[in-house]
Amino acid sequence: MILNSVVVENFRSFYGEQTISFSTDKNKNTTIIYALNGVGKTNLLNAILWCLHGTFSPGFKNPKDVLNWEAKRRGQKSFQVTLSVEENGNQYTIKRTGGNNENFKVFLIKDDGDAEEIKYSPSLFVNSIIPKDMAGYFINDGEGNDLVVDRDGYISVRRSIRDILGFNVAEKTLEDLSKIKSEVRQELKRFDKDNELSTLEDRIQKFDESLVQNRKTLTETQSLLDTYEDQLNLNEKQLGSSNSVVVDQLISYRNQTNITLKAAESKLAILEGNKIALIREYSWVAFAHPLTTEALDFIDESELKGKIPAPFNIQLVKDILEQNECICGACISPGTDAFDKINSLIGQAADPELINRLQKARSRLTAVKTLSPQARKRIEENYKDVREAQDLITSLRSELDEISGKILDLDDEKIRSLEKERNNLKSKIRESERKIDRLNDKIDELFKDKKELEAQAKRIEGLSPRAKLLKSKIDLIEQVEEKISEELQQSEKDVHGLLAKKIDSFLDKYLRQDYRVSITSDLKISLQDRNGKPVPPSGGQGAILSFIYISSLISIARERRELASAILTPGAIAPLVFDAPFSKLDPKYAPNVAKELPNLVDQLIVLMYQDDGKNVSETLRAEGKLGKEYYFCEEIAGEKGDAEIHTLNFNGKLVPVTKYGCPIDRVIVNKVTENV
Amino acid sequence: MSDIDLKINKLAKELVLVEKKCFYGSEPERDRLKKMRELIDEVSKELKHDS
Repeated sequence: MILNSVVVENFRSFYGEQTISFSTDKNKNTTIIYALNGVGKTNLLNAILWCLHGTFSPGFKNPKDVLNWEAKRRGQKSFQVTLSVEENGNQYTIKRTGGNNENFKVFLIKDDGDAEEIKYSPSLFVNSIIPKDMAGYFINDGEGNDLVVDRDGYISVRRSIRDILGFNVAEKTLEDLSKIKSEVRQELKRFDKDNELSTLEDRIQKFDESLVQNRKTLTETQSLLDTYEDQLNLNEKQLGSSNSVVVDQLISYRNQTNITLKAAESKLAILEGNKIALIREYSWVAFAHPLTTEALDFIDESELKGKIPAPFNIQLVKDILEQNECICGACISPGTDAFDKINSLIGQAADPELINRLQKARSRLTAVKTLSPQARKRIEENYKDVREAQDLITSLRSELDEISGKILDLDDEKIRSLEKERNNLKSKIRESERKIDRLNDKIDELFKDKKELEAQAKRIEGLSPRAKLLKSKIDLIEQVEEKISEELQQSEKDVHGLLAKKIDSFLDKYLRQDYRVSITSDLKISLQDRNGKPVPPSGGQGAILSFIYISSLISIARERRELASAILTPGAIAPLVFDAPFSKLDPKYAPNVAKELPNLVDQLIVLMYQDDGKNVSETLRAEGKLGKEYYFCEEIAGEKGDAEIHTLNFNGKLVPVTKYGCPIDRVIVNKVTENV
Repeated sequence: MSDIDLKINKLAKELVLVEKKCFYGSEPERDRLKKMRELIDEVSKELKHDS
């Protein structure tokens, strides 16, 4: 989408109609609008956002009081914003009216200039060009939609990523499906007379709820673990940069011991794996060993005493009896002596099947006899190796405890405190890892139990046709839920890698030399200095992080524009409208950011206060990116008195941006021209 | 992909579309559960018929 122009009418500080035509030049794609603080930058940004989606940015105060004060005083009751946009080569007019005459219309502007109203679902049309969830990132008031720093200095960008991917709608669908499933389960109770199926379904629902809860706890614990590991990393860097030779030696020894410990732990893990493999391979041998002598004796005894060596085959005897005819041709009828005599041979006849089974049993038992000593040797060797590795690990851990004890005994308060913190973090990490293992086991167990209950439910017979239909409906809903959840999980997983790549690329462009950004597995980011120390993202650093984060989001949205999935929302290519982006930014970084921002999007609209020290306009002009410039002038009905007249400098000329003694209070938009 | 999988995929997409229309305000929110139930009923009957 390209914004051609905006017309605001009676919207907050703008009385009457004010028009801005943005630069639509592909190269000179940037429009700057200069304004003093409190004059209307945020109002203009919100006018655009409101026109598109009827919503305001988080920084917009008193959203219910939008009608311009002067217009209200003159009896006018509505306000309006009109956007002229281009999308895929077509021109559209988007018009929203608020106040006592609420209205929202979208028109396609034809080649002959006629306007054809898009009557079917204009809001859906607007969402197809810039989805509501994404609009706040493109039309950004600098507050950063979720730039909330937690106590460990992390910002969760998970919500933003989910917004950009379009998770909201898919998650809402899952919620609704869960409601429908619950209704169907209730209905099932009425048709399932003996309650067998509905009882199972109730239990399955409980498993579902428990799975959701456990997965949530797992994500939170993984995030905590990431944070502790980051903190430990920093703590160890601080300990390692001590000026004390003794500390350095102890730390160096500890590092070596840790390397040996890790190797020993890996070896133990392999040996434990081998142990399981050996048990799998030889357990039957161990259990069967006592049978080898007894069973073989028994088989041999049977051979001697039994019917195996009988000189005739049981099948031959059976055939004679069935056909009532001997091999000599004599008739063998039931009830005759000959028949009874031959029939009595069955108990003595050789059974080839039995012989075969006995031979197999003998062969297996012989194998057990042969394998037993070999199994014993290999298992004993493995147990010995495991014991040795365990002893080594115990000894190394005790050495590490001793090293820590020595550090804690040193006469250096800072080092002691860092070491205490380190031990504390180590213990938290161990606890988190244990918790994660427990949660994973629990989730596996719940999942298995749920599947078992589902299998039981499938086996139930004698259900009424209605109950069967309801059951198949529940199964269908679950399959759909699984399909949607799978797509969400996969997308979130994919985006983690993509975000890391984008952040790296923007860091390179903006400020690689000074900072790095760390991303946790649950999409929390933090800014760190070159020593890996977290930098609280407030002030200038916050602005840097904000730029990197918004740039990455927009870049991801852009790449997802052609997404084929109907479950997730495709991305968007929209103008970046940024309110006061450079105000908090260190002058050192402002030109770099100003240089890169226009390359990120097709169109850039910057609302800012003129700050000579940051060289923003100069950089944009020098890069050939500055297309148009406007400034807001505040007209004040009151007398000047002692108030200061604010000015802006254009081409060396000072232009006043506050005027006193005007007929009414209002903000007017002026275009910067060569003559100003 | 089996016929059943195709039907489930299609149903998932249609259900999300119903939600999307209500989420973005082009259709009344209150109708969405009704529409979703209808879609599920339809596919459930189709699958029963197929089997």
